[in-house]
Amino acid sequence: MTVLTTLIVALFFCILPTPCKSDATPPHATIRGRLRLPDPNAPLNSTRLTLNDGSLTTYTLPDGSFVFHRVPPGVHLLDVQSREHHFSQVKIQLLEEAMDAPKCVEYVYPGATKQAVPHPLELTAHASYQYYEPRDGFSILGIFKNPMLLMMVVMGGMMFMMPKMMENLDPEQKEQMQRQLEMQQDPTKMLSQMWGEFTGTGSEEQPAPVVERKPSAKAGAKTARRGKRD
Amino acid sequence: MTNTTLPLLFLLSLLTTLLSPQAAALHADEAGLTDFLLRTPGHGHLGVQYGHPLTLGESRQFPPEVVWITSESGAPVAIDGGGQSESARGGQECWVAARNVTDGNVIWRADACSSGRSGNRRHVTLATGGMVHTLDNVGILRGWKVESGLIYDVDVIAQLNGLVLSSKEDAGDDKKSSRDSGYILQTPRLLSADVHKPFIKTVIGTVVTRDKKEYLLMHHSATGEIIHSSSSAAVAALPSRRLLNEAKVKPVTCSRILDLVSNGDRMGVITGHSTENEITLSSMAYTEIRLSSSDDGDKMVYETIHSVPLKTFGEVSSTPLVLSTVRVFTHKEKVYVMGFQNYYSKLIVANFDMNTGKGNGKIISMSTFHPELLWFTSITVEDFIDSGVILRVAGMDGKLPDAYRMDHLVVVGEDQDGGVSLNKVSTKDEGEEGGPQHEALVYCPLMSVSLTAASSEDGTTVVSSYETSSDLRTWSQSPMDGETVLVPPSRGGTSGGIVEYAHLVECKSDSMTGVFTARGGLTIALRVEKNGSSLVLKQLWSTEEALGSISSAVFLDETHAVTMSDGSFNADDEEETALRNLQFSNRIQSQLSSLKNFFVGGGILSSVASMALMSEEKKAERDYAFGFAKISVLLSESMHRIIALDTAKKGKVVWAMNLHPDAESHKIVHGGQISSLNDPHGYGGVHDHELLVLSYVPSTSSIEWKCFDGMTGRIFSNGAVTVSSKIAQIVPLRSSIHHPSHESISCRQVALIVHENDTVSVVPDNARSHSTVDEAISAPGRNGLFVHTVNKQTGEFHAMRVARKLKSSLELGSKAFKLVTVGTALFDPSQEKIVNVAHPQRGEVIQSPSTVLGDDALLLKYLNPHLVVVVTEATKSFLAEISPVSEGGNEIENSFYKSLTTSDGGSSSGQKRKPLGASKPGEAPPSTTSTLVPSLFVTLLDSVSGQILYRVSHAHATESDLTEGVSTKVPVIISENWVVYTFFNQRTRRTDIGVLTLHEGMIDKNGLTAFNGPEQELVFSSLESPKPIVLSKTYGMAKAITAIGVTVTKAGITSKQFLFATANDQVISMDRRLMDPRRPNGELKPSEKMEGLVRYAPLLPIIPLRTPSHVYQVSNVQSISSTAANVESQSLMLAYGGPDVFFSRLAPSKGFDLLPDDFNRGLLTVVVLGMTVLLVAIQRMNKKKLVTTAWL
Repeated sequence: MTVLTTLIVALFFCILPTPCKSDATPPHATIRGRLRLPDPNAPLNSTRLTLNDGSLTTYTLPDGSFVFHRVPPGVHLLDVQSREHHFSQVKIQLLEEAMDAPKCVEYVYPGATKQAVPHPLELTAHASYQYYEPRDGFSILGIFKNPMLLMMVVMGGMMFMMPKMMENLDPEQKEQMQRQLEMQQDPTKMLSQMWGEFTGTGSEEQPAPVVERKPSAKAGAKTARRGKRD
Repeated sequence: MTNTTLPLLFLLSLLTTLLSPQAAALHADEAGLTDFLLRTPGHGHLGVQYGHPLTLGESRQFPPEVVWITSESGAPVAIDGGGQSESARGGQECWVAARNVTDGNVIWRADACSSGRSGNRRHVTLATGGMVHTLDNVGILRGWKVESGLIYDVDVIAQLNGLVLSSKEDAGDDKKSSRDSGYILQTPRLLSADVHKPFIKTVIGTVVTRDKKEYLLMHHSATGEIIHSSSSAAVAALPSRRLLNEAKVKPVTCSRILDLVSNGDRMGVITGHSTENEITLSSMAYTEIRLSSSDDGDKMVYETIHSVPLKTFGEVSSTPLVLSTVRVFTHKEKVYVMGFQNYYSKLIVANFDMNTGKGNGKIISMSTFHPELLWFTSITVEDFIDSGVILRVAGMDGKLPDAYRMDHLVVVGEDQDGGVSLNKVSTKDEGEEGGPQHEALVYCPLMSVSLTAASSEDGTTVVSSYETSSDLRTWSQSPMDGETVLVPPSRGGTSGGIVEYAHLVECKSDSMTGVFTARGGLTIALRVEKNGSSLVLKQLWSTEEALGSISSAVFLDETHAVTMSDGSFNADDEEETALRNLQFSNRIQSQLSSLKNFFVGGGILSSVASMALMSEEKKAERDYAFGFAKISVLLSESMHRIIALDTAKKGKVVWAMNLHPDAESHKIVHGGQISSLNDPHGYGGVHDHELLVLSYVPSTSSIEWKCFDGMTGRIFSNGAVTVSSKIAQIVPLRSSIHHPSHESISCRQVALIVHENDTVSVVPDNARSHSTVDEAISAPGRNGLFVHTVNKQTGEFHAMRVARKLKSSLELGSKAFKLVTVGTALFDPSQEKIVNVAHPQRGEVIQSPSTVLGDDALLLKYLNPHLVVVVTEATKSFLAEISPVSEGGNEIENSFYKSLTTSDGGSSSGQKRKPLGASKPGEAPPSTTSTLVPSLFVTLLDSVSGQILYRVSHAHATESDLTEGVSTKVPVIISENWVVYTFFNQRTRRTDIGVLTLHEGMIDKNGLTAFNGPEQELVFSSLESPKPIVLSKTYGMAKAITAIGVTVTKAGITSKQFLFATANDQVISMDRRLMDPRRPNGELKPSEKMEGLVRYAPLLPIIPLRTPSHVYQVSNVQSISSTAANVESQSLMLAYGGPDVFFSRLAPSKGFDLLPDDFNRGLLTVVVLGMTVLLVAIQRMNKKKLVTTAWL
């Protein structure tokens, strides 16, 4: 019950206009300052500023200056609630015995290096916020920067180039390649050939000269490997 | 052929991917396509003052295209400050807004109060001379202009404190030192006067109080500077006591400043002696003031010329007037004083000579105005004409329960004998019935036309126009072209159409514009234009003011209305229609007709065209198919209104409904206790459109309920249930049994209400609902129906089970059920105060019950639907008890000095400090320092057993000395196994975000194989299952957070983002991974890197590109709701609670299953066509070549 009554009393105090009390509290100070933009001609319409995340609120005048009335002693964080420009945050300390001389520390961003600043605050916007991703326009060059497309282009080129290259080859080489191709298509043949090579038995069927096989040994090995994987 | 086609197809698919860039952020031209913002002035309709900068009298000018809307937390010019009802939200909103006349858009809006979170915020506004002036309750006077916003900002009290009092008698009056700063601003009041001699100036007056005596301060209207006395630059305040003494008025109790008056050439102040809230005419005085330039140039000074008492005779002079209703104005060397007699039943009007103070008065009874008038409410000065002053006198009639307003146009002037005359403008043949009753009227003197609104028998509100005669004695109704129905018949019959306010916002000789606000906040601007001899009525815009005070939101999936096969639409029996459409013959018919349409009706062409170019129509179709089109049903508790918005149509209001105007609280109930939002069967999900709204009416101690269709607002059934005590908890229940909709008094949506005295009632109270409750009690797989209550006053948490009373199985009515207590938890109210209570998101889809770690181990999520988070704050007395005296203050100072002196830079204190909760699973979080006193507690409870699962505390989290008596705001959200809350850290003066993740345990890499499984209970029991293992971390944030939301997707696969509404009026999104409590403190191990964990950093970055609200101003958001679309990648969010309602479609993992809106369909078509041509060409060439080779 006592809890209830105290609550009711508290409720009453909330509703009634605060008489006298606000003046009986310790002295208040006034925090002044000015916001600036790098471009002095740009408008800075009524930007909202808060102390301690909204316990005191003010707006800038047309010239960018602002004032917080009746700031009680303590440590306060001044923040510019702009949606367009980035300003530093300022921590202000007001000591009860020196209300006229607030100590101010500026943070470019929370957690950044702090530096002491004089009291009538001068805050210049560091940057303006970019909410939109710039659209990269459609360009042919952009498409060709894609590695997949580059591969495609090479492949396509090969498609047209290969027959031409084939024509220019030696008839012997051509024959060789054709045989390899055959082998590729029939892995059992290739395996048996390989087996023959290792054991030295299969050479009767394939009287291929050693000299001829040498240059394509590498390619053969490769195809063999690929065949296995298939 | 195949050889060439394959690479071509490959190229094609490649191009498709290239053409659809998936951006994480918006492009500039995409803004506004998938989102919308509805802005309101922010103050609902209570005390709205359309303060156009109209200078009454000669210079009647409106600025082009712009209107001021100013808000009032208190009464317009309440002299005593008493007897005025605060708005439902306690008058905490101090918004001042400028609005465009022609389209109703809010141009800008600002907070007029300087103290932000204080529990006592009040302000008054005054519109004059092209500006609006505001004064808040701590004495900050501010001036605002349409184009440039804030113009001046002065502290009235602080300006006074350097000054001495005006004269000796005052110094003698009170023995204090004259430099005393004992002035206070009891009730903010603003007065104004226009002077034309010796210069044209508007003077603003403010009133300060000291020792029950009021002092007048005059300010320049352009700069807010105080005007000093001509005798001394140190004197500024005009004491009411001295002025009254000079006029030789007998003192009563308080001496008051009543008003500033001017008639162009002369200016004066009316003062009076009064009791607490009544004043008589005989105790008033008039003091003339002259303004002049000071000796040293441009400064303005004032001097008092003379003071005269106001003298009337007889009853008029001695009848007490209600102080707050006194209106004072001047006309032709006469001062007029008007006011209502006590009990608001009589109007007293008197005029006085400015020089001698002699005057005449009249007492006017209500029957002069209208026979049905029951009491007066207000007087407004409309205009000055040659023969007198045009006033609007408002009152209320006696038709209960819905008392209707009455507005009367009245001309007050001087009669032949120099006495006062009052004439009500009326139609000629007004007999005993008193003529038509006008709920609201606006009068444009330049046009001599008055626009009135009145509700008719059938509930519609109709506008009519009256042309006044030249002598302003009579008016006659004149016909108008155009739609005259202002408000259609209200739904549910709760007085939706009653017009409560009307304001003239524009007046020219050939056109006028008036703004009418109906109960519930529907505001409509009407323009009347003179077209030759006839009048043309046009509706300019309409808006819902209640959107500025939304307290909850429900999303419903929008589907096309069910139509008959012949295209007819029967709203009354939607289900029957739907069933009939499913008949075989109907289906065949519709198939045939669409086939016919495809071939004959140009269907092919249009489908090809729409493929190539994304037409608007196609887009709308897609919005339906992908579930982007939702109806969001919003409830405004303070304005007693439900508004439904269409999210696919830029927030167009689909329907609105008024609720019981005397209700203490309203709640929308939707869904079941545990139900999936995307339940395909639609019981309680977004597809189920049946909603139930409960309104608790204390005056009749009953709960009024309405069961309605959320899509159309059609009411299925309604009724009232008498209850014994207040609502403590509402449990939504859903009947899964289909029943025909034409059955009366039935509703599929059922609410089980737990009252504060631990009784239960069921709404709607009928057999069907009871069977639904029975069904829930005996639901298979669950051990009954559990409910819980949290009493914020006593700090008690009760977990209870609902049971049927024995021997009453056949009994109907709410007495059939009882509560059985299962468990209780207590937050000792002497030590802790409950700040916030949060529950898990109902219907959230959880994709996986575990998280896969980088080393292939599984971290099991603790998923308890009965989790409750209770945030408590240590009470001041408890804090004082446990903390060492004045330790905190010193600590702050010391650390501050340290930070000033050590300029090594770089490392802020946050990085050195070991963050809270950096602990391994199972270990208790280390206490940072032993001296820290915890002030905020976050407690996790199980609502079935009532047992405390986890408790974490934070130091420095209570409000500072700046704001007394205000509870800390701690927004909390529960999403899956995550609990996120934010609070303001008093030590760092920064907002901190606390993150907790709850886990059941961990399964090692090899812990789960075919032969090896963890020993686990398959059934979760709130009573027996072990408590969760909690991981926690605290992060800092550069901006304060007012509300937290989380993205919801259909299957929960898309990565989650938390949404924060920040103090700089934005909604930002934060990837959940960034807030993970498992972010390691040290160097990342490879396995942690694999998982995508980021090294811990004490601050969470705010990335402008991750700002869904981009350039929009979304102020003071109180909650963020979200719902899933039909495509997995998209999530829909709605932020509301402040003056703005913001909706956006988000893609937390980019649009992986959706072509972006800007997908280049045209190019794709061109490429496809080009490829086809190429293919054919190559084929031909190939053939040709083959033939040539064959011949060779």
